[in-house]
Amino acid sequence: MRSNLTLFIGLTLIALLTMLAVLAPVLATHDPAATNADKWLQPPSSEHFFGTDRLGRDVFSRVLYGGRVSLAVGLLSTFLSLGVGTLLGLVASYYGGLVDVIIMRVADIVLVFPSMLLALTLVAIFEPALWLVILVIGGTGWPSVARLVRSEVLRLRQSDFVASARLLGAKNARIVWQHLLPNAIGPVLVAATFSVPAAVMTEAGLSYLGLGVQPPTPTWGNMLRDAQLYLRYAWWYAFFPGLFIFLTVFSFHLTGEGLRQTLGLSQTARRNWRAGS
Amino acid sequence: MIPELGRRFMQTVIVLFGVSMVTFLLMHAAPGHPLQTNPELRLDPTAVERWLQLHQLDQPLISQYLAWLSRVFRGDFGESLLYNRPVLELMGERLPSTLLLTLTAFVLALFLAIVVGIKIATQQNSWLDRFVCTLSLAGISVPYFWLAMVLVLLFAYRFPFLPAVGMRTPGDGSILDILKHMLLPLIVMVIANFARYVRYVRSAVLDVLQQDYVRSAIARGLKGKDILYRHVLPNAAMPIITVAALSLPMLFTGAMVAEYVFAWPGLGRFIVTSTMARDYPVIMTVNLYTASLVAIANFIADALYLLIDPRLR
Amino acid sequence: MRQIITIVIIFMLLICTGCQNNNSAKESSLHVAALTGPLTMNPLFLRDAASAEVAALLHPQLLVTDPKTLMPQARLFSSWQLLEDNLTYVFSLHEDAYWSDGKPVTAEDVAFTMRVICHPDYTGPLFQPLRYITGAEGYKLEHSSPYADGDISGIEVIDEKTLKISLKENYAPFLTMLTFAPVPAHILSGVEVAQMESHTYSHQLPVSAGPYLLVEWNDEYLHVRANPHYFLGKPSINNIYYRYIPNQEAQLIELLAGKLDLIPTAVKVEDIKNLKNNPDIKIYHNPRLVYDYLALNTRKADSPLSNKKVRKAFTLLLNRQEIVKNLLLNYGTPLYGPILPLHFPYKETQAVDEVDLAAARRLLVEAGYKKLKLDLIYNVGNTVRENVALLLKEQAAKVGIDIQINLLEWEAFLSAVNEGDYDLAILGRGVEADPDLTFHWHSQSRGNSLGYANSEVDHLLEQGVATMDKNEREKIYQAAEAMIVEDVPAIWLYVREAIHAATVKLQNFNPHPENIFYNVHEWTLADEEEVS
Repeated sequence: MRSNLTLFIGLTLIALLTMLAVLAPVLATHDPAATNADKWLQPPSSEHFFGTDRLGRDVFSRVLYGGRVSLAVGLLSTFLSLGVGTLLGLVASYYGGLVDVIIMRVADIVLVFPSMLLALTLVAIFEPALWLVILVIGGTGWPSVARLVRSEVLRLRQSDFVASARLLGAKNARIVWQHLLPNAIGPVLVAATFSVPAAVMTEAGLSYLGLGVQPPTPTWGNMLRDAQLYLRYAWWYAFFPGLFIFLTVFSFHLTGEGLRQTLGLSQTARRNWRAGS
Repeated sequence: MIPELGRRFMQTVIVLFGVSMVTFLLMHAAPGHPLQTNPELRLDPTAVERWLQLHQLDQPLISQYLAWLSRVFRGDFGESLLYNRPVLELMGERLPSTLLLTLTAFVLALFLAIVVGIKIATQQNSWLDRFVCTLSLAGISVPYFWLAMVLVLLFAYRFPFLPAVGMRTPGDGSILDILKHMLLPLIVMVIANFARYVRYVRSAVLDVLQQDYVRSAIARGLKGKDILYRHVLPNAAMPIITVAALSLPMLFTGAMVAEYVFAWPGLGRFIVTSTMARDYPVIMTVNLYTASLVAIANFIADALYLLIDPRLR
Repeated sequence: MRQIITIVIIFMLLICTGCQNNNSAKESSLHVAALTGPLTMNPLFLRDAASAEVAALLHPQLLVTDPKTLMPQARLFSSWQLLEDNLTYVFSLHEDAYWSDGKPVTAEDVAFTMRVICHPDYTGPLFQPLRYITGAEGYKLEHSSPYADGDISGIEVIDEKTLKISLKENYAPFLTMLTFAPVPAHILSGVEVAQMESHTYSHQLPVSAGPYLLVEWNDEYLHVRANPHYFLGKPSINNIYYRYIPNQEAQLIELLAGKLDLIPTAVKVEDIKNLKNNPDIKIYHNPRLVYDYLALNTRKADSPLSNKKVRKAFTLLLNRQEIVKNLLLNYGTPLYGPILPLHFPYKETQAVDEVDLAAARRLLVEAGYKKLKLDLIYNVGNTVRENVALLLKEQAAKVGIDIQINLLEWEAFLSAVNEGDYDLAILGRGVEADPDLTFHWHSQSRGNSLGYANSEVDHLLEQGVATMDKNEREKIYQAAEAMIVEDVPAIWLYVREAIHAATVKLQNFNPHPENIFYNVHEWTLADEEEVS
């Protein structure tokens, strides 16, 4: 019951934040790029709900548009890591042998790179850009999913319904798609609720260091980067982007928590705890 | 079990080798070198060429990699291109500051997490349990560089009784002074770590509480304290230790963004600034170092897992 | 549980009372902020701003330039003489100059330092002016020993404190470029030049001769102490702590909390209003040898900017006086040509600053462009440039030029600029103390990133460095500037002033455009007498 409440609150928050991001062009009170030299660093008012920034831009509108980027990075990189991870996890667990060893060793290599450090290195090499951020976060997230799917599949393979399916003469691919995948989907979904907020946070961290999505595209991270130089006399400049990062990450964690309790998954199944990230 | 551990160890070595190669290729795929970043320095092109020669950066990639690898096997990790000093020396100088911060934060956070975690696990679904659980979710959701900014604003500017950045007041450096400087970064890191650990402690204890032997102990009428110390804690300890072991790399590399924000003179900040400045030998060593730590931590966690869960053997 | 809370509270109280307990200030100390830490203490390998700044504390420059006129001034060279051939200089070293180990600073030290710079294995940035010394280029090409031994024919040690240097040709900027510091020959002459940068001398600096001596260098700050035997007199401030704080806002917070005494250069225009009302803080500002300009890239194939009329149209779009007034709050000077206000040939240009959109439009139409689409790049994090870009976009739209703004992070920005991958760019440029324009505007110079080529200008610039008479040089550079401006290779925007914030206690702070520690030996802290 309580888990349902948690799930409900989490999902409602996600829906709300997504709506704000999707409807940003409708809801924004100003053009997020429109500058106004007469209105530098104005505190929140009825005209500028969240105040203005160092170029006189409307922080409220920028936060809304920034949400689009943050959510896009979170979702796309999660799709990427889930897709790649699920596929490789299935392949590894199903074929076993050399294929399994190679895939899992590559996964290990990616896994031992702390994602922040890898992101730093990659961004130092290539020019920072939106696609690179998505690729880096998605590309470092798949091994934990692959491990998860692999162990789930290995567990399920021993189970009765697979054995009976096999006895009934079902083909391998059919077993995978009809039996293994649907049953492994629960833990994968829970993994997704971890992956999205982690991606949002990594994007914010990278942008904060100036290595993420580049201005003038507003993102919560690069707004914070800008704002840190005006902390003393423009609290709103840093407060609202930070608040929205928090709300987004929090809503996904709530959802994950609720989902896990609803699905009855134990939290101690932590073979996939990501160290160093 | 021993052969299984041996196999895992070999895998770790292979992984590390892969890591070194990937890092090297990545770094050197980057266009440019540290001296190219500022055209206003008016560096003499012939001097730059000579500099590249002296640092062997004009050689083909593969021979650079092999030279680097053979030096690493001899324990020579090279010199920083920026500081012209041995990388290990530079890292060694910065490690104590990092350890001071991370270890303190780790011990505090883990201690608090164990105390609070056990308490809320034994009162599952009480208001306290719900409160702490929600709070810990909030704790892992706060962007900690933002939290850092807010704390600096509050305690270094509005109510200026704590320093905003750094580890020491130059010329002072007493223990008290360092403690003062540590407080803000410590708060940020304890919040972030506590939020994580408390959830693991809670569920580890809950797991044990649901085991048959605990139930039978309760049925036998044993006192709560005895059950806790005799049955629950020893059995819940292993998963907690495992999580602690997996935190090892973080302890030795420092929280990069937190150190950067608070200008803490540790390894984490050094890593960020060296990476931005393309200091190849430092980046290579740091990556290898971090990857080894993670690999070792995973290895220890694996070994612990084999110890506690015979089914995995 | 209650006990724990009590302990925590006591602990917190201890910490808070600790703040008030200032250590007895018997010795005066100055805490200076920096954005990054230095990388080396060796004055021959200064490739970054922080190392250069710190070097001015630790090492005596051979000569300096006057902060107002930029004319050469005595320092370690206490006097000099140019012989009648206009090629030979005789320098006298300061009689009281000693290394911190008690040995005198000698002409041989300077000669050795110059040989290091001319050595083939030297990788630092100082060779440019020395190539005019007779025999220097030969030494660079042919010297075969790994040590800086042997002789360069144009460098002659007359006696312990006298050095004679002969140039192979007239080179007017020579003296203003002798601003580097010597290294001690008795410590380094046995070190191979290739190893010199990583020698312990670069990080431990056991021996130096500047106003301050190194005490400690760590990853957080640099601590230096007044050199009691400094040849211009022992500095009055005993200790200087040079703290690296990468965040400007944190620097200001520390300044307001009294934990920093001086923030050089990094103060933002936006902060001034806030700081000016503070009775404990004094704001200093002085012009710099750096300017911002709008680059018009003509190197792209069939770029409309190759048409001079199109470039001319851009001169009519921006009012630079307004920019300086509104965006720099008057901490700067509008600029209309490549010679900076600090340079002796500078003459104030009147009334060229007319915004005339109709005329700009006419020029475009004459050039055959009804509509134009151009991209504009600049780097992140510079509010003034960002505002100029937005203003330019707005103005250009009115005459039919559609400007696409591309904001880039520093690295990406540099590579775009180096590869010429842009139409318009807002850039900054640093110039030397001498008004010589060769580096940026001579067609054969590697610093000529705009690809500007005008053979008449080339000729004038060659004449400019070969002429020793100041009045004649002034005429030459003014003529060259007029030609360059006429060709419109760029739109000069403004010279921004460096803004420093310091505690009111700091006296005699007289920053040089290239060196905040220019007169550090004369600085004092006002309440010093009251305390000791």
